[in-house]
Amino acid sequence: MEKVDVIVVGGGLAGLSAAYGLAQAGLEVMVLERGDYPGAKNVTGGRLYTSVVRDLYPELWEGAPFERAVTREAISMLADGRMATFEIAAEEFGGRRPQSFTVVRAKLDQYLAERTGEAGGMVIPKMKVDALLTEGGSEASGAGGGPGASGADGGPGASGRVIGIRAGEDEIGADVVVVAEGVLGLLSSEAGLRERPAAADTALGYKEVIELPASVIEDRWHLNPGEGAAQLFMGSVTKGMMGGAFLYTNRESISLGIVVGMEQLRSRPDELESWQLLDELKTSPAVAPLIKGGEVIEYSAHAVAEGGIAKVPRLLGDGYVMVGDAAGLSLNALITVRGMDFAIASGYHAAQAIAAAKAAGDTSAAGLAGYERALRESFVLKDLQTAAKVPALLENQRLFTHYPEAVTKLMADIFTIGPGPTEKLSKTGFGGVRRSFLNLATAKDALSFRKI
Amino acid sequence: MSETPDETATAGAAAEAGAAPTIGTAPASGAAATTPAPMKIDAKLGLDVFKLDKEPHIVIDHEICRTVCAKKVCLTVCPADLYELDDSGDVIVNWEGCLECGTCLICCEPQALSWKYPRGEYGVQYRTS
Amino acid sequence: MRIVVCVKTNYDLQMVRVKGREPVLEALPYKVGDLEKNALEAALQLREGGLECTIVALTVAEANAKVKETMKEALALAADEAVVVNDPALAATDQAALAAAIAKAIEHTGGADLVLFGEGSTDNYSGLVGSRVAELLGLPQIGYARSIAVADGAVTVERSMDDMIETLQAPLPAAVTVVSEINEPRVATLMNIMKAGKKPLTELSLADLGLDAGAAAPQKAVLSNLAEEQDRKHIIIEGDAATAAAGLVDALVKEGVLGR
Repeated sequence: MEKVDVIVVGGGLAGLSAAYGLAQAGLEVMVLERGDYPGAKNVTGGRLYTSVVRDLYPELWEGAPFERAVTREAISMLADGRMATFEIAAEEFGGRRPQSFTVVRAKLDQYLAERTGEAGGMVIPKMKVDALLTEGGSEASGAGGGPGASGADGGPGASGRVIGIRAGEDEIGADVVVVAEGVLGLLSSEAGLRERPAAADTALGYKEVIELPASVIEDRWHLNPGEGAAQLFMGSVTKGMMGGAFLYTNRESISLGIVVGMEQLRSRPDELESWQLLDELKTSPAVAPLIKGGEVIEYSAHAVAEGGIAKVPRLLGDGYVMVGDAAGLSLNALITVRGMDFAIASGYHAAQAIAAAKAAGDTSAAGLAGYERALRESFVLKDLQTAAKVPALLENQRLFTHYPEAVTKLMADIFTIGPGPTEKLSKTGFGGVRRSFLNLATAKDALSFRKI
Repeated sequence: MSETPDETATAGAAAEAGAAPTIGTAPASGAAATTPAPMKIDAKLGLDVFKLDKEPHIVIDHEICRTVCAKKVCLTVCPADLYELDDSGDVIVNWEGCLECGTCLICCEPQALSWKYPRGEYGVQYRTS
Repeated sequence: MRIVVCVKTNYDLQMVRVKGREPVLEALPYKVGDLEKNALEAALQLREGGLECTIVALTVAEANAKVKETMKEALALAADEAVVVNDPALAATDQAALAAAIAKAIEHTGGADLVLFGEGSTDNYSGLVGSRVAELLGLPQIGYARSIAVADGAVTVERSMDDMIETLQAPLPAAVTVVSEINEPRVATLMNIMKAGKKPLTELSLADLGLDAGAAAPQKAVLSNLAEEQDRKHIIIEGDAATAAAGLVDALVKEGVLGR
């Protein structure tokens, strides 16, 4: 069997970040990507938090093909034909080192692939991996005891060693396989390295890319040239289901889409079809003017891991590490939605750990354990741990029904005049607050919100 | 038969919106009046690049589908609206327009789907997502 | 013997997006042209049929990093070595200049006993370059090949004509242009892609071939290349099958397509 040092399964941000670091370390690394080019099968909502990954591979970000630095953040609540928006434009979001950028994956991933190629890595597109090979052809096992499970330390488990991959008829060996196959985890679950994603822990994300001239985008969202906006919508947009809508401004387009929990979607009693949510949002009077005159140029969909740290599988074993979405490293904290930063950081730390393991001549789970240690010390597992209670909180339907209704009603009442005499503002305000926010259910919610 | 389906649909949307502001006797204006009808899902898929293999990458086990599955969630969860019932009431999938998100696979409780990614060189290829 | 397969590295036209009436060419991926894949496969099948040969993939293109990457695909599919004439002057050129550069490149890199082309390129499909190269090299040329056999210093070609299949023979060296019926090209396997990275790839400029930039200057210019504008009626007939069918018949009668 032909053999290389490291095979990376999947040329997304996690896989390429691993490959780039491995190539820099002088290892023979091969990335296998099933899309026509890296990014061809990838979908992002749209924003990468560079603030947390800037110091990893600092040389990469200066010339990276980002769309717009996000300087304006907004969250909108929608209910009963009303939209209440809270917006913050902050100078510290932008400046010389913006905290986040909107991105288009086809561009960003190809850029990283080119840099990886220059560093000596081999990126092979149009190549689907059909199986992970394990020692003796035995099914590896070890799904379950991940960092979220109590007491797991990523030490060697019962897994058969991962020794390579099969693509078509060809089997290629590797000292380490970096599993960067994405959220569905088809190969790793087949090999017993993790469980298949469950509907309760997964959301459907889909979006349209809508082309608009840069000047229109800057006028409509009050942006200086090159600056961008991010806007999240929650409330009636998902009809009571966990999720919301997102809008990100790219250079000359916007990404407008929906994220909705799969379990809620599938257990709906009515005939509502998932794709209709976006059309309703687009034609709602509050959103229609934002996209007016825009031309839809692409429609895409992807699954989103939302299980949080509890669903992160074992991150490594003999001869393999799991990175990015394949390892469930994403975080929906309602106001911030992250995944690409975790992908890059996990790829980075995987590369460092694999290089060290190769140098020490031990690519067993014990040899690779530095990867999990590094992730635990980094923002990746720390932030996921901090947000450990968030997934359960998101199952609270009131977040998507009661609160948007109450907030928008209160705001509307404050601004309503006539037809009869108008109440004192304080009466309207306090009455609304008392009615909608001070009762047993909301008190319980307040307790649970404290856990985030 | 309607020669101007767009206008009809827009009028419908405007009527539904209902809340268009009116000032004095000025005609209703506002977003709804200028909002075009939603694009059909087929038209959205028409914007994407699909490279078609000869063999489907999603295969339905009709035996399981018929006998075990009471609620055909595939018909509603797919963001590309690819699942439908044929004349005999069997679920069929128009896999050619698959966005490869895996929602059907995850949501199909009886596991009636054999679902693989398309081979290299095939399937959807996103350009700006 | 030496088989040179001339490969045009094309934009992947399936990926083109049209904005207004103009194609968006920025950041488009490249690929080996469809008929060139047939030509590479034909060469491979000649070798698998027992012909001892070296297969050379040759492209002439503007200087572009993607061209070299694309030629690795040709190496993975069939070729033993690749020749890339990569010159910025070739960014805007035409079939005459391309043919001149190809002919020179073949002479410069060891000649050829058999030169294979796709009948036309995936983008322009002018179908001119094969004949021009044959003329410049003084080779007999056979077009529309649906099968190729080589024996006893001659190539025997079946070619598709409208209403018949013609069998022609020419002495080697010769040039043959192939059509898609000739074979079903294989896809590159991972192992072959890995091996392709280690195969020799020679990069040449026009100057290396003794040509100056002027040699690439086009003798003709494309002034406009837009699809015909069509004024459609946008009639949508709704209703169940019977109503829709009746509505369609009515509409077609009204348009004068049916009846009368």
